[in-house]
Amino acid sequence: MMEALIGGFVAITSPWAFFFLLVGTFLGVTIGAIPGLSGSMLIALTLPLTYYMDALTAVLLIIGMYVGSVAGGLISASLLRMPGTAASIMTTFDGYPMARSGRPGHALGLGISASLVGGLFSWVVLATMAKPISIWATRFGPFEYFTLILSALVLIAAVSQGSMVKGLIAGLFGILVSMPGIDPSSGQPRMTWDLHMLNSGLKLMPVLLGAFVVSQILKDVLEIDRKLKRVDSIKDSIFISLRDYRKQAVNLIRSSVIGTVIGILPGVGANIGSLVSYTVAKNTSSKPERFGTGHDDGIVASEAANNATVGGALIPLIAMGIPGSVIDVFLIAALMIHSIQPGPYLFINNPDIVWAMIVACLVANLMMFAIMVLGAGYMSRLMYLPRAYLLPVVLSFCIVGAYGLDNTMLDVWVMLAFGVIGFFMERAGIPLGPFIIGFILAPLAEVNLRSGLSATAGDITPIFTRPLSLAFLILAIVFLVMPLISEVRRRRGNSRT
Amino acid sequence: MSRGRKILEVSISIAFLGTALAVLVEVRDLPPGLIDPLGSAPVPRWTSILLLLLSFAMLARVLLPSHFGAVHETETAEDEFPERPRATFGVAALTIVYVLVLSSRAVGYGVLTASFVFALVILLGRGRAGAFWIGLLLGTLVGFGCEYLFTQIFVVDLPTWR
Repeated sequence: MMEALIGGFVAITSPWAFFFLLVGTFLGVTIGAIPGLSGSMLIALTLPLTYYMDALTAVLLIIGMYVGSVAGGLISASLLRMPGTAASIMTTFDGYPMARSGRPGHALGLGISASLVGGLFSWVVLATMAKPISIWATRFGPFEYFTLILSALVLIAAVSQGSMVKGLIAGLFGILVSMPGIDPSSGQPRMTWDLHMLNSGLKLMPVLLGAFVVSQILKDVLEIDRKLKRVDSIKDSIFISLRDYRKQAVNLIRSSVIGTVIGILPGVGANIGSLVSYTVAKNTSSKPERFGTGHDDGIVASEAANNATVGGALIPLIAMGIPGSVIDVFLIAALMIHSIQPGPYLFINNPDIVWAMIVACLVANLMMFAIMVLGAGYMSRLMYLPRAYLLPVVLSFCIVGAYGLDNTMLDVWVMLAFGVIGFFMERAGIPLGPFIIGFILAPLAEVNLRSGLSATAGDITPIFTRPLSLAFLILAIVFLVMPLISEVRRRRGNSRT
Repeated sequence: MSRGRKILEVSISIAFLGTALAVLVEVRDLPPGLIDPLGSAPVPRWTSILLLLLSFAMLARVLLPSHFGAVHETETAEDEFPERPRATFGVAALTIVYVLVLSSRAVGYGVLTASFVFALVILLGRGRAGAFWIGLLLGTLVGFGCEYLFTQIFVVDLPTWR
């Protein structure tokens, strides 16, 4: 493993690779800090440009953006009570009160340090676990793959914010949207409504750009009059003492473990990681009443966990080709653009890329720390950039980006259509995460199910008789039933009181 | 749940119901599989049936909250601010017009994009001092900058006048 890691280091220390990783991390932190612009938006907008890069550079750029944007949300969460990314929602509860009480530097310092520790912890897990898991995953047959994807789809729908029914609707809609086109198994057109332009199906990029960027732009325009409550300047020190690290040691380790484990779960991202970690920190604290008033533990729990999910989420992506979070879908897209198939054979077919990705995750965390410690003060000023000037620029980049994918206006129309659909879905509380994960995973699930059934002459019983396949199926049922049970319990509790 | 949100959820449920029905009708005549036993139709068919059922559930929860339990989703009351639906509609309409004109290749990409960005800045920067000049500057930079970047560096054939 050491040799491979050294190889990864050598790959990313070439001037261009290092430069793009640095640029990606810087842009990620900056965009993550600006409310209304998110890491998903940045990465979706960048993806069309990666066509013109080699695979390694493209992946490094996106990993930098991923790590940077998850951490960058901390700045606006603490100074504006407006999380730059969904991952920082829990940070607002303690970061903002602390900043308002005259210690914005301490709030940022704690968050930045916790982000670094969380990122480094999950990196160690990523570097040591990804390869063994991928070796294990090479033993999966089509039924194991099918049930694994099924459980991932159910899980993301079940843990989505809001109602589970809406999460499932989003996932099913994503599956249906992925179906039109030439059926890969039979070669005949399906769900094309006799429109020849649908023969090649709906492409991933226009759908991603529409659902994540255009819908967000429309939402931002709707909320453009939202007043930002600002904390004027950072006067206290951003550096955290060793004493603070020692005081937070247990919280840091516990939150990093929670973030990493939640990151490994397919489709579950940083926002859930920080929510669970914050709740656990509060429930195990001797002073739970101090949470929400500017308490150090709250910031540390949220930030350590949300950054730890990044490394954790890369594990299922690298080892099994399953996105660990919504942003991982973009990484999969970047790999697929360069004809690299993520999954168990990535270590065998593209070891140079995969080890460079792993090392890049470590280096991007260190870069993120340096950029945020040195530049948080300056970046905090970017939060007040008027969105009236930013959004038109982003929208025109989206349009040219969608067009540039294939030089066709059809992609632009598809992007706009999914922008409007995504906007209304979000307004109705239907999450977009399950939609996009359903869209990307459904074809894989269907191909595996059909190839499994071909091998068994239509016999479905191996799903129930093969141990792993059965285990994944049980997991899917548990994920489906658990929220229903807790809902029934909650209602019973409410009716008693 | 507010009345507006109710209308939105009902409309979206109906849209999903319609989508599911359209898929069910479309896959009805797909032939059974030749190579694999499953064929092309069952996966979209069962997905549509599930979507149909869940959309009904969503509709029922909105229309009959007393029977199915109220929706327990938090709508945050803090940070109240006026929304700008007209501006949102304006941005969507301007974008559609821009893409239509772009598709027709009647105007050059640079000029059209510069005008589009300028119009959006004016629309969104309502009453903001300097919006006119900033819009003009941004429009010029984005319109002609993108045209140069994409045609000269990325060698993309941008939609421009024939």
